[in-house]
Amino acid sequence: MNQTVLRIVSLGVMVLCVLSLALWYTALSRQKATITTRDTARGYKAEEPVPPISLLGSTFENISAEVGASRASSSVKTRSSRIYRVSQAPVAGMGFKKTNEGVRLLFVERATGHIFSENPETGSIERISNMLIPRMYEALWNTNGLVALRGLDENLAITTFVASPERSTSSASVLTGQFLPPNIDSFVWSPSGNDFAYSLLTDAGTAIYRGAPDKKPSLIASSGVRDWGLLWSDRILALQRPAANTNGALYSLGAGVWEKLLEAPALSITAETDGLVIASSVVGGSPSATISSSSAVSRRATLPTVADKCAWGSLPKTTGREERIAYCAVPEYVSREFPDSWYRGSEHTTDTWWSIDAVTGDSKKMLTDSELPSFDVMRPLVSSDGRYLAFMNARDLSLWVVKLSD
Amino acid sequence: MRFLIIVLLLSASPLYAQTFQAPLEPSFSLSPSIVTPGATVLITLKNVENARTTMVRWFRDGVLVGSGIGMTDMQITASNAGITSVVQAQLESGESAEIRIQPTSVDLLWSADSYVAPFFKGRALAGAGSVLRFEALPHLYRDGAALPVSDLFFVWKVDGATKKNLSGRGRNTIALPDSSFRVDEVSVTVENDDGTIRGTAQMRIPQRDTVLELYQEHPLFGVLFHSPIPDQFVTNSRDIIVFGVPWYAGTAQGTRGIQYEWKLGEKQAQIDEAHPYHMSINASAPVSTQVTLSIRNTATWLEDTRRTWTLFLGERGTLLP
Repeated sequence: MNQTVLRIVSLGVMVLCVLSLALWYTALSRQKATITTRDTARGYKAEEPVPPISLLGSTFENISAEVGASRASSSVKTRSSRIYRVSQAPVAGMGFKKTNEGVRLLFVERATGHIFSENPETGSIERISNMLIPRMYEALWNTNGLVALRGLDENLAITTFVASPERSTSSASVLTGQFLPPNIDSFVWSPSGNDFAYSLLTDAGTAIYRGAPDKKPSLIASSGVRDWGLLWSDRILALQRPAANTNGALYSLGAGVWEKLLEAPALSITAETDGLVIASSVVGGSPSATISSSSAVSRRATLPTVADKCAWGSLPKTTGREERIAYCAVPEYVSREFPDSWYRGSEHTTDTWWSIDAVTGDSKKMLTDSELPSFDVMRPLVSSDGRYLAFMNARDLSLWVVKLSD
Repeated sequence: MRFLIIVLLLSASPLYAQTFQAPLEPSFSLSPSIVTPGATVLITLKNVENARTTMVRWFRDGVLVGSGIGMTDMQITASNAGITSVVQAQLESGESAEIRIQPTSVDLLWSADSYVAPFFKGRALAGAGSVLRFEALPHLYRDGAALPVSDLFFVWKVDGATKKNLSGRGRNTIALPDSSFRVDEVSVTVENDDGTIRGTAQMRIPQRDTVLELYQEHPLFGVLFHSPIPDQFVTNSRDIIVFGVPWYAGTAQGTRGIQYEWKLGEKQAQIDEAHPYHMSINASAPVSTQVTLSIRNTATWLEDTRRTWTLFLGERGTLLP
């Protein structure tokens, strides 16, 4: 009798175990399917896309959801025109690098952190790095081809990785470099590209450090207030971030002494090493940028724009002149809340390109083709040979190049 | 009796001194009293006998800059900070007076601890519940040499009231903790040990209400901070993650002090406590939904901001009214 009961109980336990295992397996399979679906949606283990014209892969081709990419952009000019689009997918930033083969435009894809190099001469693009660093918000390049990659961790802390992308002969390389402290508020490369400076927020205000790749950074200045943007011309400069109807000041940080250089409402600056300065202010929604050089014979010029939309270049040497040119994107219209609303992304401008001779002050309108899409220019940059102007369109973070000479 | 007379005489001596005080020597007054670089300064000669009929000759750094009968006022433009100008007035009687004018300036800087999105290139403005930080950078000189901050006294005033607990030697930075009442004006006066060299600065603080914006958090590109979601937003996707940014909300209590409340339609939405600033919306079929974001700030009872967006999720164009 006891044996029979024991057998029945044992059988029952075995059946229960088998059933539990079956249920557990089913639950796991469903969970795995969910995870796989989510990963696929995020692009994990996605097959390398094969675009029709190259073997590079493109985030834009991979996604179905639109990200502010203008439909009008499909009608954009081809590379043979004076202006062309390098990347329709959002980029984190770009920089020109001089190589033995000529100038190259390096850029970082925002979705993947992949690094690409474009030859503006031919339009060919090659992948420099295929190391996946998703959601890159900012890529700051120096003249030596080093890049500071800036993103966010899951707690919204800013990460900064200083990388040295080098393409090997056979395949795209893995990035090597160093992480800087979290939550760097502002980062800038020196003009030589050998050093960098960055600011950190502290309980007391702001601490500013100077460093170099593979070297321990050292504290060079501190301030009791926050909101400093860093620039580096022939020295390190600190600019109070611009705001509408609020005075901002530019300081030089030589030898630990803060020396005020300029002050104006919503002051913004683009400075070069050789005394070339574009300083802008905004009063009541009216921007005004002054282009000046340290040359005694130069004439000042003003344009209704902000320094953020300007870049310095030089006339190509083929012209036989060695004069410096400022390139400025001038908005057709801005609101009274500009530039605050522009920095927040809630206002986009429609810009026209102008070139300004730093010596004569003469200004000329560029790219008058009415078929061009609307550009809201951000982070413009001119190649060291003065032949190419690159910029991002703030509407969709696409990357564009203007040929300044043939 | 003799003792009483002596006491009376002694007690009367100050009166005697006051009655027979010697004539005052010529001196100056300045307007404004604290001279800033490049400012127009009015120098007035005082204590001059027969001032209306006396010839006065004015010199600046040894150079005659003006003369005239009864000319007791002279207007000059102050030099740059750190450069001393010696102004002398010579009277017909042979008397003279001299004043050294040392322009001073104080840069008064401010910032606000208020919420802005990461990588924002503009200024964090002073919303309610912000900690306001100030720094005074004085440019005070003695004999051409800058006086160090540690040797100077700083007197801070907030909306006209002196803040003794924040003032003192070397105290060139202050932080005003969160306050539900807005700070309008801050001033600082800086002076050396004996008060002979002084500088001052004041400023009004631009105040700003919280601006509530919603951004799409894209699975690939991250938060699309360059393009906020408009009041009516159409997307062909049925799933969307939105990210709320309460621009300029005070962070005196840290970002944790900003409380997010999400509503989908009329229904309170469950939030991720660790990441309350974003909300995931998944629709099984094309749908239009209202998303309301309310912000409360533990740093101030003044903060209660809300905004509603209408999202059309699903097939493009089919849901537009």
